[in-house]
Amino acid sequence: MNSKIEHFVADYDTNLSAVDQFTSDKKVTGLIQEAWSIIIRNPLFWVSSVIVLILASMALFPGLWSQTDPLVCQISDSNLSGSAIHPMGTTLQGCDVFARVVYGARPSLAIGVMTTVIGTLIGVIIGTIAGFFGGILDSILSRVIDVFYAIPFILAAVAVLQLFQSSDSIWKVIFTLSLFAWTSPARLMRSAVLGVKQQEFITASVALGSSQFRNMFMHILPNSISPVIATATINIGGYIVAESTLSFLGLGLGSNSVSWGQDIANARDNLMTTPSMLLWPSLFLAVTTLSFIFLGDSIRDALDPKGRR
Amino acid sequence: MARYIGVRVLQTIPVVLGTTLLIYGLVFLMPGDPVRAMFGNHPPSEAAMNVVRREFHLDQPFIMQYLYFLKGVLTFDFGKTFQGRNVSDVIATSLPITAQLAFLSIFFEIIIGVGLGIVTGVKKGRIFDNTVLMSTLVIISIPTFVLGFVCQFIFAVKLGIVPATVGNYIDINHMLMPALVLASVSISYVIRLTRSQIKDNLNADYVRTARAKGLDNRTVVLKHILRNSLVPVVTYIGADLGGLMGGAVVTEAVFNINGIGHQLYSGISRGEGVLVVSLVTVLVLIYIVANLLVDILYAFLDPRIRYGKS
Repeated sequence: MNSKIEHFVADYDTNLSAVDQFTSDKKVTGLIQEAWSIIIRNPLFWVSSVIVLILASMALFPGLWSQTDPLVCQISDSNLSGSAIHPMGTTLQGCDVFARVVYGARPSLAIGVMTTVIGTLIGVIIGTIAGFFGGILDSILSRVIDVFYAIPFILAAVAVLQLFQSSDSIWKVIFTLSLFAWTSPARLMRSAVLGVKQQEFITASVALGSSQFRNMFMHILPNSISPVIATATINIGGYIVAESTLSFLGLGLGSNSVSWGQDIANARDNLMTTPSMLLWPSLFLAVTTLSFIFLGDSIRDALDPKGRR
Repeated sequence: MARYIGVRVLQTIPVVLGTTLLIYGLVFLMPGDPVRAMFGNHPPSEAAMNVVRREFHLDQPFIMQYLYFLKGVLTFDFGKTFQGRNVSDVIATSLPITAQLAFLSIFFEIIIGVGLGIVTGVKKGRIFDNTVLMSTLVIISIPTFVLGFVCQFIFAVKLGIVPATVGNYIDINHMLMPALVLASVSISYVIRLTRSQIKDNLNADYVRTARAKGLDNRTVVLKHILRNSLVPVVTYIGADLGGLMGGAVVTEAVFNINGIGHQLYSGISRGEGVLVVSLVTVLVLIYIVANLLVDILYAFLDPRIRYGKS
């Protein structure tokens, strides 16, 4: 904005190299700084970040939010409405709904984040290899991606989770979701790498003698990863929803665990008498998912040079 | 065109082989001996079990078993459920019900999704546009089964407008709410897709030309913009048919519809591996074929695809 270009009228005995020099007080900024300066002006980014931070604190330190143990339930307190001791009321078994919602944040967020991290890592590696090396390797990898992509997500998860019905571990859900979550980042990454590979600065880098791997990691990867990062953030919410759906189908974390999905699934039988059992975990889940969608959207807006203007 | 279709069909073959191999591989990994499980607590002699093993080709290596499974898929013979019903019979009775549900959902996607997409696309940036956009995001963020519970509770139990469950009554009155719930997420995506397509086309050169030659707004939107915007929407809706069949697992469980999703749900809760895998295979194959047809339709609608590199 404040860039100031000064043109010189050179003296007759000035060196030629000095003629083109100019001074400017504009700082040289990278993509990240530029994206940051855009994103901090987006109110949706701030709102969603604050919500995500609050939820993260619930997942990491649930004791900060609720001193009640979500698994200690007094049957004499069954089905209470909201009060000072139980801000969101109690379940049919007399468990504190607020405590269950707070403690349920950990498995839901862990599944959403871990699935996204694992799926995106695998997808980025495979997509980069396919796009960068091309040829027969690309054909084989693309067919493998097609196969995993051809199975609808929920059906795939149903088929795999059949294998682990005896386990209550959170990792079985993360493993299953990751097994099929890598395909869309792989496709995104592959097409992004194919696009970046043909640009002039890559040709320049090859001409300057940089090795294939230096090219891949230093130039192609950083320049093609931004759509993957934005999509991954949005997908975190999608996997949290997927976990709840699997819990509903009886393939999730098991009925003894405390998670939003499980609580929503359990709430069904008592919907007539205790609607708050459905309301609160669903509300937390929906707000979390929405926050990740907004966060991903604002990251995409900031990283996408075409959208700037 | 014939060449494009040929190439596209050939490309589908490895995907079909790959997906069936993947699904069958998962059954093969399942812990426990299926023959022992079949007889429960009173297993017969080892010799008798070996006869059963031979009958189901369980004594053969994995790849041979897979080929027998593939033969079963191609001849529509998936074996029997725990109750002794043919799995193919279960599919034949339940698939039409799910298909009806899915087609009704597609109808809603077209009417509501494309309709609202056009309105918000043309009048972008107004209160109505923002409200619709926000609502689509909210619907995407809520799990479908929660939406199902809430609709059931409000419209059936509290207000009594529609029946709460379907059961054996497969008619428009009973299917209306389940189809809407099943379609809800897709409707949101169709609205957003149509809207962004129209927004992109609104400033295209050909639109300026159409306006410059004096056409009224209505003709420009309906005849020029819409026709060019709808190609990706048609593709999305077509490909969604398979997705809806998968999503039916949840919707049918919520509304008690005896479709293929419900069979899958009860198969899961009874731990019937054969049934679950057969149903998943059939649904995946439908999904793949639907995608193939959509790709061909796409090439038919958009000549650039047909004469592209392929």
